[in-house]
Amino acid sequence: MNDVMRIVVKDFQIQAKSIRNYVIAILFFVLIFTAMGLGQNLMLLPLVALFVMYRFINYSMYEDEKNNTLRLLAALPVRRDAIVFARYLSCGIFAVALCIMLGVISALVSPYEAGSTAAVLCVFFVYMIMMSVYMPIGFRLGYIKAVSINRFIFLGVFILLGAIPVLLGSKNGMQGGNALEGFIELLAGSDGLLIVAGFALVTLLLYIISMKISVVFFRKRTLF
Amino acid sequence: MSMVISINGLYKRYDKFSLKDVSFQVPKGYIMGFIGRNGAGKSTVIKCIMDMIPFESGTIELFGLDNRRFANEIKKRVGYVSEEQYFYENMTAGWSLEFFGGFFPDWDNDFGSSLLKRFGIDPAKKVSELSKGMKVKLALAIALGHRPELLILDEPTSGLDPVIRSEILELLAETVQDENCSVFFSSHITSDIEKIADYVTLIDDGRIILSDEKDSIISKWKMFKVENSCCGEELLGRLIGVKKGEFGFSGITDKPESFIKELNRRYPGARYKMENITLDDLLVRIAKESEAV
Amino acid sequence: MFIALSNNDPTPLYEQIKKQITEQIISGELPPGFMLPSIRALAKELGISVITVKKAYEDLEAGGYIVTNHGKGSFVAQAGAEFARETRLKKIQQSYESGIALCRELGMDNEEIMKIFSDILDEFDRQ
Repeated sequence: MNDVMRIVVKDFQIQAKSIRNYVIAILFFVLIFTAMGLGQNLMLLPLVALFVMYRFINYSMYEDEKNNTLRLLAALPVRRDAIVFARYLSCGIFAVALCIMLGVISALVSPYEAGSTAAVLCVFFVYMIMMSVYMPIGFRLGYIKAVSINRFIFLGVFILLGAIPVLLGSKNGMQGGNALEGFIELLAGSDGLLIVAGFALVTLLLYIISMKISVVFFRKRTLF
Repeated sequence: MSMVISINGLYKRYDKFSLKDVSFQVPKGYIMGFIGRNGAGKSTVIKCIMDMIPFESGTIELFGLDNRRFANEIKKRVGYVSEEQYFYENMTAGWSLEFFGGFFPDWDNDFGSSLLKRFGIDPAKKVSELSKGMKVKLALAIALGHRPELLILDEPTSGLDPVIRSEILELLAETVQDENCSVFFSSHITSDIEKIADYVTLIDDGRIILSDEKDSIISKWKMFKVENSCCGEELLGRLIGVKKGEFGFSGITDKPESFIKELNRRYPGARYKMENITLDDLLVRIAKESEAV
Repeated sequence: MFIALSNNDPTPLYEQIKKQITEQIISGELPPGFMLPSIRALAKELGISVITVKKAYEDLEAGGYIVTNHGKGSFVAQAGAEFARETRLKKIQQSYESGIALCRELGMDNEEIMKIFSDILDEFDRQ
């Protein structure tokens, strides 16, 4: 467990500068959106956050693989499970931290409280699901091969989110607009808390299953 | 004498190359040099030993333990330096030392830092700013900082200048001051190994050609230079790595007395010279022999 | 104690070590009871293989020049210096005997032999 924590800390130390840049970028966007009006704020901020999280995990994998540092770790008494677990943990911690930050910012800026919380949670769930798909691929194929596949997935998610409003809109009689908006409306609704709990459980389960799969993939992978 | 590394019948297949029936042992408390030309299989054997790549058949034991079943326990007692250095380029040397070293239960950070100081590495410097030689020394500091019982080095001196090379060799000699510590290092720079190795193992084209005390090898093997009039097949067949020239032919053998006897018998009065060999000669001639086949 | 190995010397390294230590034992520079460096320490100092030094020490011990106490170290034997000197004297005696025998074969008498000897000594002193 000690090994895992050291690797988690490492993931953050490596990106220390980038993380600072992300925070600055987000604050920058908040300023811009506030200047443009609240409507956009609710929408674009979560997407920016999603993009930032995407960059975080990408950069984590990239740093480990570009210098083949995983090879050095292979020579040390570190278990491969620990490496996988640490990656999942660090990405999860980053997501939670980012969402909390987002939540605070949104609460400060937007008066529509339930909506901002919902937006943040929405981003969190989407991110967790994406990671659950993204990471096993990364561990199986290595960063270089995985990056193109993952870009495809990332794009796909965006498009899917665009397609869902049609379904949601027709189902619950809500206005169209972006899928994300629809999802947020859902979460902010009366059954919101239950739905949130349900989603939280499902995403957590997915995340854990994804981690088990990644462990199997990574154990088998030859780094040379 | 106990063996710190025991390899038996190792087979590893790649598309264009394979290790065939590799078997040898590394005695505890000594330095063994692993020589062979580029592509002979030295790195492959070492990666198999460190359980970094899988192999088809055979057994490898370190400290008497199977290297795959007990990989983690073994790695706690081994210091390894690979041919290429893999660090996070944007982090400092000091951070790297602590991060990678910290995975060893016996890690002594003060000792590791003192090694960095001794190597002249500024811990505040980023890895990307270090020269290749410095990176190797950083890797060595990480490998030595937990006082391992076994040092395994894969071509630690290739591409380094003679000054750094001799520093590293001195470090290896220091390591075996403790009788419980052993060193196994591969190199194609045979002169390094010639100086300090106690034992030498030679690999060519995936096969172990010999594995013996260095002093024995140097005294057993001789180079013969003979005049061309003796160029008969039976005599040539007794030499390894024969090179034919305008003014004579040469080759090596580990049975010099019987060669001289045969030479005198077939060509009495023939002119020849017998010389001591270097490990370089051995490597070159054996490689030549396998090419001829 | 001073040991310097030469690459240009055709004699094997362990022989060189033996020779230099033996000489220093005979000359008295390494007195009986003197503790020699450990095999590994000497190997590191000279930058050579441990086994090479081991062989030299083993031969020296077999020759009676040194004694090795496991765990304590290697020491110049009490009898070592004396023994070494005796061996040397024996060698000198043998070489003189063969020289004299040759002179006799050529029909020289004692006076002539003495003259040759003093001439050679003078040559030596001149160098």
